[in-house]
Amino acid sequence: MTIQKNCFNYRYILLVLCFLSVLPTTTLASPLKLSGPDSVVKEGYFTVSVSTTAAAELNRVTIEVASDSEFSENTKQFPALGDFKDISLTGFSNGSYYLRARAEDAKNQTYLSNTIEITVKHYPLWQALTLFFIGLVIFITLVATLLLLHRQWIHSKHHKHHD
Amino acid sequence: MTEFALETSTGITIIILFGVFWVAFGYWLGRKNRSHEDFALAGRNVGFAFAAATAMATWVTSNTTLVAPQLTYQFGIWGMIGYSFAALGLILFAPMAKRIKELLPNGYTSGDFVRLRYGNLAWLVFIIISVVYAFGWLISLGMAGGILLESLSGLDYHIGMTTILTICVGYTLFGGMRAVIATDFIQALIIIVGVSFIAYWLIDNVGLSSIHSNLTAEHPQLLDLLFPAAVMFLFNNIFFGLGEIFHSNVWWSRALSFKKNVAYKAYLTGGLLWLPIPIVTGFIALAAPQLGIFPPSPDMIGPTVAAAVLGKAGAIVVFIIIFSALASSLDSLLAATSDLVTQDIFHKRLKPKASDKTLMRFNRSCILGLGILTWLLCLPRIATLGALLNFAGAFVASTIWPILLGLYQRRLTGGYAAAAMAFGTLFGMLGYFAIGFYVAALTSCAVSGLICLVGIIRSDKKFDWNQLDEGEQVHAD
Repeated sequence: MTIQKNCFNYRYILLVLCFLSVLPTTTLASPLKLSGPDSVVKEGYFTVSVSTTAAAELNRVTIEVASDSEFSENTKQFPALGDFKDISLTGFSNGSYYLRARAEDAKNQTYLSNTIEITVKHYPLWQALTLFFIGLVIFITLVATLLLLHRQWIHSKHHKHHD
Repeated sequence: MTEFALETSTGITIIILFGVFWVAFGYWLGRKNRSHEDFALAGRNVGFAFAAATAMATWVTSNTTLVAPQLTYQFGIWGMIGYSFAALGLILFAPMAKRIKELLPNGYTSGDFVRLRYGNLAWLVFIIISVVYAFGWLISLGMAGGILLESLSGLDYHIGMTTILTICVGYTLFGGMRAVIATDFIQALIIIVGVSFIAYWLIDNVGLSSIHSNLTAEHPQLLDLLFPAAVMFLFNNIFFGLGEIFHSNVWWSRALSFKKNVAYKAYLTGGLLWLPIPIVTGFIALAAPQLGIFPPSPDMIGPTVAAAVLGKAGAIVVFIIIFSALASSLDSLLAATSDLVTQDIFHKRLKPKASDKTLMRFNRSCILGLGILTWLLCLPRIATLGALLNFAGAFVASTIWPILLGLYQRRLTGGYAAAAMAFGTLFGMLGYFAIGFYVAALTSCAVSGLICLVGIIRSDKKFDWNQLDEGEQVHAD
C-alpha cells in the first residue's frame, strides 16, 4: 500500500516536471517584446519595434513573418539593420500575417518575442482609380488651359509685332 | 553600438572642407554685387547654362535623394515613376517663366505679381501660404541635414543641423543670388555625376535580373502597377509639385534673374535633366530586399543601400551628393524668402523710399534672421520630414489656378483669387485630416479651380496688364 502511494507521488512529480519543461520558457522569460501597428494596414508597408527588458545587449535581431501563428508556413526572415530595434517592412499583399522577433545574446542564447498579428487590406481598387481619374481630368484641363492661353498670347504678340 | 557607414571624424572633415569652400566662393562672388538688384537677382543677367543648372539643382532637394527612395521602397515602381513626375512642375513653368519675364521686366518677387494683379486681400492670403510653405521647406531641409549626418556618420543631430545651416547662410549672406546660382551649378554637376555613378555601380554589382527575381518572389506588390495606395498618390504628388513651383518665389526670382529668352529653355532643360534623377535614386531602394536591408525608418533606405553596396567610398559619395542637394535648395530658399520679405513687406509696406543700400542691408539681415529662426525651429525636431511636406501640399496646390490664370487671363478678379486660395487650402487640409495625405493637394487644387472658374464666368472686368509694370523703384543714395 505504502509502495503504491510512493509510486503515485513519483509519477505526479514527473508529470509536473514534464509540464514545466514543456512550458514556453522563452516566452515567459523572454526579454524581447515586439510591437506593430494596431489598426489595419492599408498601404502594404509598416514598421515594427522590438524592445528589450534585459540588461544584457541582444544582437542579430530578426523579424520572422509567417501566414500562420505556428510559423510553419511561408516563414520569411527580415534582419534588422545594425543594432536598430525598429524595422520597416514593405510590399505586403492582402492577408493576415504573424510576426515575432528573434535575437541572440552574447552567449548565443536565442530568445523569441511575443507574436503579433498584422492585417493588410489595401484600399479598394475602385477608390484608387476614382481618385486617379479625377486627378487625370484636372491635370489635362490644367495643361490644356496653360498651352491654349500661352499660344494665344504668343499669337497676339506676333500679331502686334506685324501691325 | 550602431555601426555607421562613415566615421564621425570623416563626416566632420568633409563638411568643414565643403563649408570653407562654399563660403569663400560666396564671398568671392559677392564682391561683384554693386546694387540690391545685383544681390537679389544677380543683375538679371544669368545665362542659359547657369540658368538650367540652377533650375535642376534647386529642384533636387533632400526629398529627391531621401524621399524618392523611401516612396519606391513603400510604393514600388509607381513610387519612383510618380516622384519623377514632379519634373512636370519645372516643364510646365517654362512657358510661364517666359510670360513672367515679359509682364514684369522690373519685378522682384511672386508676391509683387499677386499684389499688382489681384490686390491686397489676395496678396495677404498668398503671403501666408508662401510663408507657411517656405518655413515648412526650410525646416525640413535643416532637419534633413541633421538626420543625414547623424545616420551616416553618427554626428549629433543638433551639431549637423547647425553646421549645414551655418554654411548655407554664410555663403548666401556674402554672395546673394550670384553665389546661389554659381554654387548650384557646381552642385548640379556633383549630383548628376554622383547619382549616375551609384546607379551604374549598383546595376553592375547586384544586377537587374536578380533584383527583379527577388521582388517577384518576395515582394510582388512592389511591382504591381495597380498598387492602390500608389495609384492614389500619383496625381496628388503632381499637384503638390506644380503648386510648389508655380507659387514659390524661388522659381519666380530665378525667372526674373535670367537673361531675356533664357527662362523658357532653362526651365525646360532643367525639368528634363531632373526627370531621371528620382528614378535612379528610387531604383536604389528596389535593391534593398535583395541585399537583405530593412531599415528602421523608410527614409533611410537610399543612403543605407548605397553605403552597403559601395562601402566606405559609396558612403562618402552619398554624403557629398545629399549635402550638395540640401545646400542647393537651402541657399535658394533663404535667398528667395528674404527677397520676398525685403521687397513685399519692407520696401512696399514699410519703407517705400528706402535706398538701395538700405534694401541690401535689410535683405542680408533677413537671410541671417531666417537662418536663426530656422535653426530655432529645427532644434526640437517638431515633426517627421514626410508629415511636414505632405501638410504643405494642401497650401501650395491652392495657388496653381490663381497663378496660371492671373498670368494669362484678364477676367479673374482679386476677390475670387483670394477665395480660391483660402478655400482651396481649407478643403485641402480637411481632406488631409479626414481622408489622408493622398488627397490634400488634389482637393485643394480642385476646389481652387472651381472657384476660379466661377470667378471667370461671373466677372465682367478686364485687367489692364500695364498695371503690372511699376518701372524702376529703387531710390539711389
